[in-house]
Amino acid sequence: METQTNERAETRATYPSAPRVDVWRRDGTVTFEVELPGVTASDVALREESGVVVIEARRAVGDIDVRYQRRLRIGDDLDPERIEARIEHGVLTVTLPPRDVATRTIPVNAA
Amino acid sequence: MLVPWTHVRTPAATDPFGLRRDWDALLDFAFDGWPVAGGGRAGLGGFRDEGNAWVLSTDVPGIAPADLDVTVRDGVLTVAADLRPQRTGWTAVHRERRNPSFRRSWSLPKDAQPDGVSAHLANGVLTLTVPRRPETAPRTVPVITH
Repeated sequence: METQTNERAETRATYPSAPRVDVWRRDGTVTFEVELPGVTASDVALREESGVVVIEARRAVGDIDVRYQRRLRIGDDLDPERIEARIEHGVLTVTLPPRDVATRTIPVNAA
Repeated sequence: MLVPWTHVRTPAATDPFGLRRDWDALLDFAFDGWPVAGGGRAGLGGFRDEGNAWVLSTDVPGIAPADLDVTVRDGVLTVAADLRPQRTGWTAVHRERRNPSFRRSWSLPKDAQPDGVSAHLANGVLTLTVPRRPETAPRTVPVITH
């Protein structure tokens, strides 16, 4: 009986899934809304690498491990250092503010 | 009518469960878009038979408990969510998510216990449980002879 249980545990299938995403923009800020039903904050990993936001999450549905993954390219105008994310009711909201554009004044010299 | 086919996300060839999922997706499509996770379909439509109860688990991402309305009336279970996601002042750049609003009704089978129906919503997953009355054993009627 115990052997049977172990065998079952080893044969759990992994099911890759690309979650649905809505993208919104306001005043230079971009927000992603990612559908991750059944996922809690501790089961989500979020990282940014060379202009791509990578979202990974795991969820067990019966005998299947669902592995959510989505890669979202972001523009140069957004600041990945100030990325913010929260998950509520199975939807992950990722907010990326615009980069602070430092204004440099160039002196004009008289000839 | 041509309808964009968005249910199938993984080809059957690369996923051992793909075919079943495609089939489920087809059924979901037939049953007004109600997605069903891991269920047999005999008995109460979309619910799986767990012996002492019918159970349905379905993904409803974005729906909060306050958005959900579950009623049992005259032997009919109705689940509805009326939600218009608003992002006032924001511009939609790209949209894939479907409108999360829905309404679905089921006629409860004879052995269901309407008073015991429960709905559990956690992390965008809704689980409905309809308890069943324990099977009544047939009563043997003794035949009296004189």
